[in-house]
Formats: sequence, C-alpha cells, structure tokens
Amino acid sequence: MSLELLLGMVALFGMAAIGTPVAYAILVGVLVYLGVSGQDLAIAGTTMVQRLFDGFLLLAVPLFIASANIMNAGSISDRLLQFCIALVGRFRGGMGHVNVVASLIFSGMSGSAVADAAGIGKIIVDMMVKSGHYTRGYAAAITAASATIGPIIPPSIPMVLYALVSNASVGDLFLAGIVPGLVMGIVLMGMNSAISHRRGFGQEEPVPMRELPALTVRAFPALLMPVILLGCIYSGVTTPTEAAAIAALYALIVAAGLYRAITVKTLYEIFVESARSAASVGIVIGASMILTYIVVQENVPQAISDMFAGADISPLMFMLLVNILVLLLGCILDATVIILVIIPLFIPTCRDLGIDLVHFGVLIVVNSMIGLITPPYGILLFVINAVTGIPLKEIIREVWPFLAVLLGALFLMIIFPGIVLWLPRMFGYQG
Amino acid sequence: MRTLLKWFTRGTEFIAAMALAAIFITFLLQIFFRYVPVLEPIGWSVVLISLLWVFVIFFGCAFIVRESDHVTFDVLYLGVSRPARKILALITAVVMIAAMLYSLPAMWETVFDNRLMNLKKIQTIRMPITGDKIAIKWLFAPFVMLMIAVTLRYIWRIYTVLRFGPPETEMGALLGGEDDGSEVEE
Repeated sequence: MSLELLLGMVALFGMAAIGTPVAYAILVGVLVYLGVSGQDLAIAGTTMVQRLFDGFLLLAVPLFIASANIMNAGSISDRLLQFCIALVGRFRGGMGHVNVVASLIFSGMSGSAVADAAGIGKIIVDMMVKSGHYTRGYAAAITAASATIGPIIPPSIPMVLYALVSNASVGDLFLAGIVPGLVMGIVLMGMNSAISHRRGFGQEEPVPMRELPALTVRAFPALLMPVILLGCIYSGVTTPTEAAAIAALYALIVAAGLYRAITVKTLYEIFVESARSAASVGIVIGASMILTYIVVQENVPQAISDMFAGADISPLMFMLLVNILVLLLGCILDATVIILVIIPLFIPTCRDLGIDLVHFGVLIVVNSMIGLITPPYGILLFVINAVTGIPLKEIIREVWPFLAVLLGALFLMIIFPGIVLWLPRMFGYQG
Repeated sequence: MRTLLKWFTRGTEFIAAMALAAIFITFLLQIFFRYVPVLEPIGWSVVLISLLWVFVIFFGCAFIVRESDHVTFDVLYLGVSRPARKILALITAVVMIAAMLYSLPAMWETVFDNRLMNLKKIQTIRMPITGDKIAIKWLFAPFVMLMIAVTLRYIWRIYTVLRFGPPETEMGALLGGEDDGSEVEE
C-alpha cells in the first residue's frame, strides 16, 4: 500500500469514527489521497458524478425506496399481520412465528431491512410485549433477526448494488435469493419454537380456520408483488430497472386504489421522504464508487488476486475466508460500503478460482445482513432500540441464538451451492 | 428569518419530490411508448432519468437531507460525554469546511471553465423532445452546489454547536440544518 493511500485511509476512518457522515468521510479521505499524490482534486467530484450517471442500474434504488414507503403508508401491514396470525399464531411461541412469516412476506415488498424493522417490526414488537407471553428483549431480538430476511428475498437493494460491481444479472440474483430467504425463515422459526417450548411461552387464541380464506383474499394483492417483479424481468417485458418502476406503480395502485389508504397529501409526503432517503443512500453509493476508483488505481484487487493465486487456495477455503472477513467487517461497516468497496476487491479472485458470481453475491448479501444484527454495532439492533425504546442490553442478550442459527444457514449455503443456484438454474441460468 | 427558512425548506423539498416523481413517470412513459403499437419508442428518457437521478442525490444532500439522515458510524460519538461530543462535532465541521474550500477551486474550474472534456468521456446529452445539446457542465453543476451548501451548513453548524451544544436529537439536527444557499443557483 502506498503512503498516499495509507494517509487517505487514516483520514477516512478517523473522520468516520468521530461521527462524520460516512459519505463525507470517504470524500475527505479521497481528497487527502489525491492531494498527497499530487493529482487533480476535481477527480473526486467528476468521478462520483460520472459513475452515478453511468450506473443506470442504480435507478432501481430510489424506486424500491418509494415503493417500500408507499406499501408502509397503506394499511397493508395490518392486513398482512392478521393473515399471519391466522396462519401461524396458533402454535406455541405463535407471535414469534408471526414475526418471521410477516418478515418473509413483507420482504417481498420493501427490499430494505431497516425499513422492515422500523415499519412492521415496531408493530409486532408492541403486539408481542402486550400479549404478556414474551420478554421485551426477546420480542425485539426476533424482530431484528427476522428483518435480515428483507433484502434476501426480492426486491433487494443490496443485490442491485452487487449486480453493479460484479456484472452478475439482477434477475438471476433476485431468483437466487428466494430459497436462501426461506431457509433463513425456517431456521429462525425452528429456534423460536425450541426456545418457546423450553421457556413455556404462552399461546395465542387460535383464529378459526374458516376465517383464513377471507383474510388471505384481503392480503393477497400484497403477496403478489414479488411475482409481478420477477415476472416483468423474466418475461423480458421490462429491464430490471424498469421493473422497479412497475413495482412502485403496483404498490401505488394497491395502496391508493384497492385499499384506499393513501391521499394526495400522503403521497406527496412519501415522495419527499423517498427523495430524502434516496439522496442519503445515493451519496454513500457515489462516495463508495470514488473510493473503489482509487483502490483500483492502486491495483489493490489485482494484488489480492495474485496473493491468493500464489497461495494455491481452494475455492471453498477462499469463500470461507471472505465470508469470515465480511462477517467481521459487518460488525462495524455499513452493508452498502461492504458491497461497493470491499467486494470488488475479491471479484477478480472469484473469477480466477471459478467461483459462481451469483452464488458468491447471495452469500455476501446474506452475510452483510447478518452483520446488521451482530453486536456490538448492529444497525438493526439500534433501529429497534430507537423505535421501541427497549434497552439495547436486553435485545443483545436475546439475539445470540438467532444469530447462531443464521450463521448455520449461511454455512449451509456456502457448502451446498444448490440452495442458492437451484431456482435460477430452473429458469435457465447457466452457472 | 424563521419563516424564510421554513419556506426555503418547503421549496427544496418540493423540488426534490418532483424530480423523483419525474424519474418515476418517465420510466412508465418509456415502457408505455415501447408497447403501444402506434407510438414510437422514446430515446431521450434514459438520459433524462440519469440527469434527474444525479440531481436528486446532490440537491437532496445539499438541502433536504438532515445530518441525522446520513449513514453515520456514531457509536463512538454517542458513547462519549457531552463536552467531548461538542469537540468531535466541531472537528467534523472544521475538517469538512477545510476539505470543501480546498477542493472547490479545482472543481469549479473543471466544471465551469470547460476542463471537463479533457477529464471525462461522456456522450453528448440532448434536451428531451427538442434534441438541443445540453452543455455537459449542467450534469456536474449540482455537485458544485453540494460543495457550497456543505460548506455553509457546517459553518452554520459551528455556530449552533457553540451556542446550543452538540446536536444529538432530531430537533438538534434540524436546527443545524439548512442555511440559505440560493446564491449558488447560477
């Protein structure tokens, strides 16, 4: 590593550590690098603008944010919860199961784990605590854990970002996420079931089976979202980015037309909020791209690839090492930064070792989502803590078993690529 | 002053929301024009959408994204005492102002004195419908606007931190929010 790069990194991490917005900290780091190495300072800004302008795929990001906000504003979460309670509320630890199933379905609409946790997550935590069967730490912990499924099942913002840096197809990545998302749901429900039996958590009043069809019909339009999204991409009717616009339109039609839950005023507010989130995510994306630009200029990815080539390492070993690294980084770094800055360092090595880039991408996204609930610095833990007021200490104490089973699921996905690649192969993915 | 600030915020929120809505609608038009038989597919939509996207990001960060909305690694910041937090907030502000002022002349010259062509290869951008050429500097201008806005906002922040203490809540962040940045429009 050159001295310029080292100084830039010191500036970047120093600024980020004292609470400067991550995007601005990266900008400062890059400016230090450019200044010390005597390059044109304007490279920082012009590269950022150009990469954002050229990264057409990124336009799915504001559209997914808008559709998530539209879905959250409608009465859709209520309908979904009633449906989930009717479906799995009758079992021991029922509300825990409701929590996971609701996340599974909800993730098919929002694509952002933080949005899931802050929206539907808060409602379920309140319901679980009010029922009196669960400690509040447990309610918060299972909510945080199940929110990690959000970006695994399409639509998914992290997968779009990964597609951008790896040139893997968004459609294949989206399809590849479905089975792993379900696996994560199953292991979380298994753990919930085990804990509920051991601790003797109470059961909910079962909803009569005859009410289930009506509740399903009420929730059905929301259940259809991922199908429409994947249908648009796979039939070739739209590009993946256009499919995001269709998803937002569909959300709007369902929320405003069918459920009559949105007025013009709330729609305007949704667009203001979406523009705000899109800008704050977009600046991190742009900043990550200039950081990647200088890291590539310094030949870091090639050096890493050469290092692994020299070490004569097996693909499986490489996968395990990268996943451990991402897991550790996930404790401190934002998932966006990991995917846009750290992952491109390893893409050349993946190609050399013959690792499937769709398989690799899904593993990385699952991994960085697990990072969101890994103490001490897990953003989802903070979000739940912020929206519910449940102390962080209680949440962290209860989150460990869920963390363990999610890691187990990740390990299975590494060992058995079929879990990830079976579904896209059914649809003709050649990998 | 208060009312002016409120209307300024409302205005900028309106512009950002409309830009996002325009992206959404243009996408739908693009799909619509492709599949309705009598209509010709439109070619200008991709460029318009990309321009608006770049605009939303930088305009948004300049005026409507609050300090607390940014992705921030604040575990250390929130973990220290109030006086220490004040110092950290001041360091952030001073370094940001210095970094912006340090790089602004180069950036300004590049964008507005036509040095862009030497640096970047970007296809010609044309006006939707009419097809007139748009000068490439307007793609990059929002970034210059962001740099100026960031400088002004962090100057304002130094004042609020010194006067009211370090921001830690949504409310505090709002107070340290927008300053009048209208002089950067042209």
